[in-house]
Amino acid sequence: MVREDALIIPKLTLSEFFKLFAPTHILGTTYTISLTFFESVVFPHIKKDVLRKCLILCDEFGFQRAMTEAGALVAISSSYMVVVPPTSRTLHSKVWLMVNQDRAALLVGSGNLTQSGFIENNELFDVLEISSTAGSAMLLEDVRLFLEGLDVHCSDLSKKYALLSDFFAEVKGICRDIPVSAAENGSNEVRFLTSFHGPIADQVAALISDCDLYAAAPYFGGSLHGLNLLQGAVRARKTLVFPGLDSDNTVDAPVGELASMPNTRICTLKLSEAEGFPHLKLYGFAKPSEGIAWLFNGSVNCTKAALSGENVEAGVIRKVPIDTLESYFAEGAARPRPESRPANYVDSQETWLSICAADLGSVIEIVIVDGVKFPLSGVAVSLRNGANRHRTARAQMFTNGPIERLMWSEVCPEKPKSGSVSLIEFDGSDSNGRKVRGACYIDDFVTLSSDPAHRGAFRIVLEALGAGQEVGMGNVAAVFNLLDVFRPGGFLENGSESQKANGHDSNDDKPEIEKTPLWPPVLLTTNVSSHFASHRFAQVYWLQRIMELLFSANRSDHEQTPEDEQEEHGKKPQTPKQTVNIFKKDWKAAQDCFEALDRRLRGLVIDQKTAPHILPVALAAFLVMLAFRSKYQKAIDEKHLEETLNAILIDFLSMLFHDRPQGPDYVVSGSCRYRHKTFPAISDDLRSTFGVQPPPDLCSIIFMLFAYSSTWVSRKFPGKFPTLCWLRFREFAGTCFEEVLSRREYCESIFKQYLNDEAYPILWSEIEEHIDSLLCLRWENDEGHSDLSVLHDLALRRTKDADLKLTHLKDAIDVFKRRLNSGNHMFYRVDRFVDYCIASGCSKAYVSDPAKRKLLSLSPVICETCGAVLVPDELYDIHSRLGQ
Amino acid sequence: MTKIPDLPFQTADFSPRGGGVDFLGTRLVNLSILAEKLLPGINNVTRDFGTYCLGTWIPWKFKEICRSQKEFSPSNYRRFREGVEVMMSHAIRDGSPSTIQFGKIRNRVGIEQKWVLPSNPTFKTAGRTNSNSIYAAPLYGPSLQYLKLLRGFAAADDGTSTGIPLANDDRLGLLIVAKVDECLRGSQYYQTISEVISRPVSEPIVDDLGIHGINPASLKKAGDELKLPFLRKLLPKDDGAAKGRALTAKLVGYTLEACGPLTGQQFRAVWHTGLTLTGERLVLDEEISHQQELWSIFQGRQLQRTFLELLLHVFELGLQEGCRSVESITDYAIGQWEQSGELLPADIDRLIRLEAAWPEGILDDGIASEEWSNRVYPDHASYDDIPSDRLKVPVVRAVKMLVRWFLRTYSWCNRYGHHKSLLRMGEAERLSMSYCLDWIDSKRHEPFRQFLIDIFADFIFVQHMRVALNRFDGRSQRLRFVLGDGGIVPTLSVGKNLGREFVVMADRLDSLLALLVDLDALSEDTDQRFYLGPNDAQIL
Repeated sequence: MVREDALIIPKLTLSEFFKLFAPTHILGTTYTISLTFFESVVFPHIKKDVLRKCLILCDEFGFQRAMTEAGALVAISSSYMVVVPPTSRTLHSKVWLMVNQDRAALLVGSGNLTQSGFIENNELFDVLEISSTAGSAMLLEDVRLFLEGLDVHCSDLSKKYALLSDFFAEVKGICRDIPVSAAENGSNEVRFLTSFHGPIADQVAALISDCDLYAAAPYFGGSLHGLNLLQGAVRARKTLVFPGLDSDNTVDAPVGELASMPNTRICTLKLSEAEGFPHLKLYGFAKPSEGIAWLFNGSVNCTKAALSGENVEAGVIRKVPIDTLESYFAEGAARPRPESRPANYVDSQETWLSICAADLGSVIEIVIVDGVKFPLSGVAVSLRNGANRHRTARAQMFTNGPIERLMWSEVCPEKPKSGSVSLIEFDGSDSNGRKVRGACYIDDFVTLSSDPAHRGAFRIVLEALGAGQEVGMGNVAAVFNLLDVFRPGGFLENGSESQKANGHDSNDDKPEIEKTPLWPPVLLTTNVSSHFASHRFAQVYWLQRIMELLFSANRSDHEQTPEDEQEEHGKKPQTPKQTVNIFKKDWKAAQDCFEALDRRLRGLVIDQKTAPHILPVALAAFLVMLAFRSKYQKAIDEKHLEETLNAILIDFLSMLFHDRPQGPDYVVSGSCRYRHKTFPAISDDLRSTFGVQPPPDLCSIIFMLFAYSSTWVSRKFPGKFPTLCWLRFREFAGTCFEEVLSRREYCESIFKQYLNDEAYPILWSEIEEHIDSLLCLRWENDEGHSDLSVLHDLALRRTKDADLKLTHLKDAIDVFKRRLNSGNHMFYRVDRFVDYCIASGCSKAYVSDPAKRKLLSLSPVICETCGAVLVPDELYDIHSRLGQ
Repeated sequence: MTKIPDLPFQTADFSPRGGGVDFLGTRLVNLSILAEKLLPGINNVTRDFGTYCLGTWIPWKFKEICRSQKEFSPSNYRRFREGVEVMMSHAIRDGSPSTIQFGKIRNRVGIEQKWVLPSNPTFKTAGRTNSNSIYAAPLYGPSLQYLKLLRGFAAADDGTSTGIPLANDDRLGLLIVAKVDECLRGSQYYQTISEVISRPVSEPIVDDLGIHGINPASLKKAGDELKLPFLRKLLPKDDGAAKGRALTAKLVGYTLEACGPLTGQQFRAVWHTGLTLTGERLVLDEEISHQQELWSIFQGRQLQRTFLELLLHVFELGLQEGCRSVESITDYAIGQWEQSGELLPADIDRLIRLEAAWPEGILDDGIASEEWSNRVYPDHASYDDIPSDRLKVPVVRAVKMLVRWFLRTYSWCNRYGHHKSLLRMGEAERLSMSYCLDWIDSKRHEPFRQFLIDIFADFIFVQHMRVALNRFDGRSQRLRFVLGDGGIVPTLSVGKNLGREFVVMADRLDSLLALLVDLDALSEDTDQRFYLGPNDAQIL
């Protein structure tokens, strides 16, 4: 008689397994699957800092059923892959393997990757760890065998599909090198058994035989063949069967036959009395006289297919004390004898094709399993992307074998937006006329092969824009690193003057950068794999993606915020303190990184190489910072942050459009292009020296910053409008300014995404209202420009009475008139950074005079000594251009 | 870290907690139309003009009583604000002298506070937090700024914000605060307000202040000196940002002129159809007519959301009944339909014809839709919005509403061609009106069962999961169902909320009407019907 109870069966949330350590690779196998469950419940628990690849292998039955979820998925194809192995064997194992260079962990059990399997059903799982302090060499060997088996199973696909073959190669490589606990070497008291080792029944028999058999399983396949097989293999002396019963007290086994078997008894498992369908599959093997017992737990039902090796199955067998075994097989309250029901067979009339597909830019590369009779004919191709479905028909496909390339334009009118999930389906006949069907998600090749740090940077930008799924999973610095602000050889790297002074200007040490196709973003075309091997390429690729994300500002869900719910309930959902702290940390980190960029740009000597990149990089970094600020502000009750949004905008605009004074210790070096202690404004230098014409989208974003600031000031919020910056921006924008004005929708999306100071709410309609008045602000209204015109008129004797606005000009008007009467040359174009007169004959020519520093603020200055009008170069040019 | 057992273990629930609204992601479009075109700057809880006035007066008064930079500190402001707010909430309690005299205000902020008198009125002593301050974001905070009653925050000497709001000191703003202050001066305890930071307060003091203005209801008696400046703030003539609010108020006025007294619900239906309760065309001048069209589209979208959410309700009821696939849920819905005694249509096209009461073969979609729009007025038996007490079976109600919505909206692409962007707003991802119309049109000849399968699959199952996954923030689970081993199963986090009934999104109109009543631009009878009030010139 089995003991009523002894040990309390442990209980654990499976999330604990996924939180064990940060893996580089994850492999999961399952029979049925719910990818929405995976993405919303399981995936968030996985540490992704160093996660390079995550692959889920799923049986075709489960995959086909889960295709209904395709339109809902978010992370598949870019964060993980799902593949149906091309095999006639049922993939029934439920195994999760996490590895990194130091360790491996296995989760093996009875539950599929569904809510039922991971939470609701009555399931059993087992965790095994392998590292320098745990596990055994034999266990590691078991894992290697399992990997090898799966790799072989997938080989018909993987030999043509690099993402799959790379995955197995990498995981097998890591597993080969994991250090194993010396103490446990050779121990075989815990083993990981799979069908790749041989029939499960035989493997168990190799460990123990001539024993009592305990079998608890929900499925028997409609016969006792499986049980008989196991009984025979282990030469069972007596058998206790614990069928997992359906709610109607039935089981797919011939109960009468079972009851009449010699030395066999049908029992009720106490463990099964827990809530949920008893889906666990647990076997016990005991020799009480010798005190030996083994427990085997996993995916193995008591069917012939499972035990004989027809299916792919897996489980963990452990040597345990007899009383532990008895605890697991404690009998529950007696129940009426179960009824038999027929077994469920899944029988399909059509052949399922195992397919993989990768997005290679403008092309989708589809790989179909070898062995199909090509070509396929009468093929209906369907593409699902979110709510959209596109159908096309093709007379023939795969005419040249198992690889076909389709242009995106052949399957849908417009390529789905980057990062979205697409499922492609085929339905046709092979060359034998046999109906075939297949489907797969289109893998984002580049993303799946990329560095975790790059993906992490992308993820945290998504998160900052309110479109991400996870909190605190990324590193803000990674974004700025990607923006290449700090690293040698980065986009902005040519050394500032101050760096040069400190001996950091060693251009010779820097790697030569030949290709930095930063802007505008370009589509990837073929041969991605070899390009992507280059770190530089990957960096540019991710930078482009991040910029695309930041500058498009049209995430469909970015307004799905808690505010959306606030109004419904009339109260604000509280953001957990821990989350607020994470947001705060991210915001501070973004601020720090941005300040570093600011310092760098203020001291930057622009050259041909850096010129094209400055604006996109600076703007992207700035938008990242705004996004983090907004996220933090939304989460806190007290909406007042130290600096207002307008103050931050003005700082940024000054960085781009104001001249850049260097520190007091700065000494003008002989080799520096700039000849003064104040460097020209970035915008001015970019435009006049390098002819950089900013693209309309970037101009639109900057335009919005000014529009916001103008509205802010009109609302009498604290702060001021940076007029000079605005005038310089109009010069800088040049011909694309008109285009900016026609992009109201884009401007609105930028405003809604980034320009939100909750302490100072401003509506889009208010911004729109102020755009007209902003447009009226032109050079003609500038005091310096206007006074220059007045002086001009005076010089031409068009007017007698000076109507000057600037006091310093009024004060010197008499000297001006004296010079005018003497007939000398009146107007001198001067470098705005100088503080002296250059008029010939002036007694103080080239003598430094603080009064002339007003030139720097683009104001004309009358030399108090000679009466000549010194006109700052920029103002002079603008004045001339405007035809004054 | 949790210790992993070295034996087989059972599993426990680790799914995130549930929450959220708008499970089909369709709400944002409605909210955008509302916030940008129809009623910007107010929300569904800003229903009392007295609270607005006090919300403006508090920062003004604080600035008035501060005599030095030292006194004008954020901490002093917080204590002052909390003190006044706690007294306000005490004054509006049931049975207070001012409540007896002036009646209840509509939205009693902080009414659940637990303040034991006499004591210092602070949020701490009253057991309150900033989330139920009138300045909180979901309450009056942003609205006070949008209405330009507050003009921003006082700056600190380093150029940053102190967080102390400043009342708008324009002419209207000053008129408002001066009148509120004048009312409060009528109290013998007026001086107590200035000392609220440091002095305990007793009930007689609060009650007397309540009668003289601390209870927002008492300000309704302050007369036009207070109401007219506020009306100008609420409905400014020259403010582009607030134009939608002013135009909607005008629409209210002109609709009442044309139709006579109306309830809030009747306003919505009249604007939706453009027809009076008795079926005459609502004639308005161009600008007001444009606003009515916007309301019409908004109501169309509200009805679209209603039938979609009803279908979600049906879907969840099916799950509750043990259905585990879209097909079995459809069969459950069809079973419900049959039990209702309604004739099961062969296809949606048949149902459209039936509803339109149009002879077979003559139906021209455009003409039928125009005809429907012209003859189905708000009180018509076939009006698009079917209340649940008229059709109790959710699936029948949902599908009939869908059909009527289709019939009215089909012609809008022509009729409202100039509002095309609104009809397309949300695109496929948020089931825009255009997308939904095209979808229904493409499926109208499918067998009815297949139509239901498709709509459950496309608009409910996948749409919900897409929205829920997109919104998942790692904390709050919005998924209501997922695939389990045996098919579709409710998520654990949805719990008892499965199959809950849909609540139509509040549209702020009740707030506007309430404010207009407070301001005497409208009056309201006990049947909640609105009439033009003594100050109707402000909205005509």
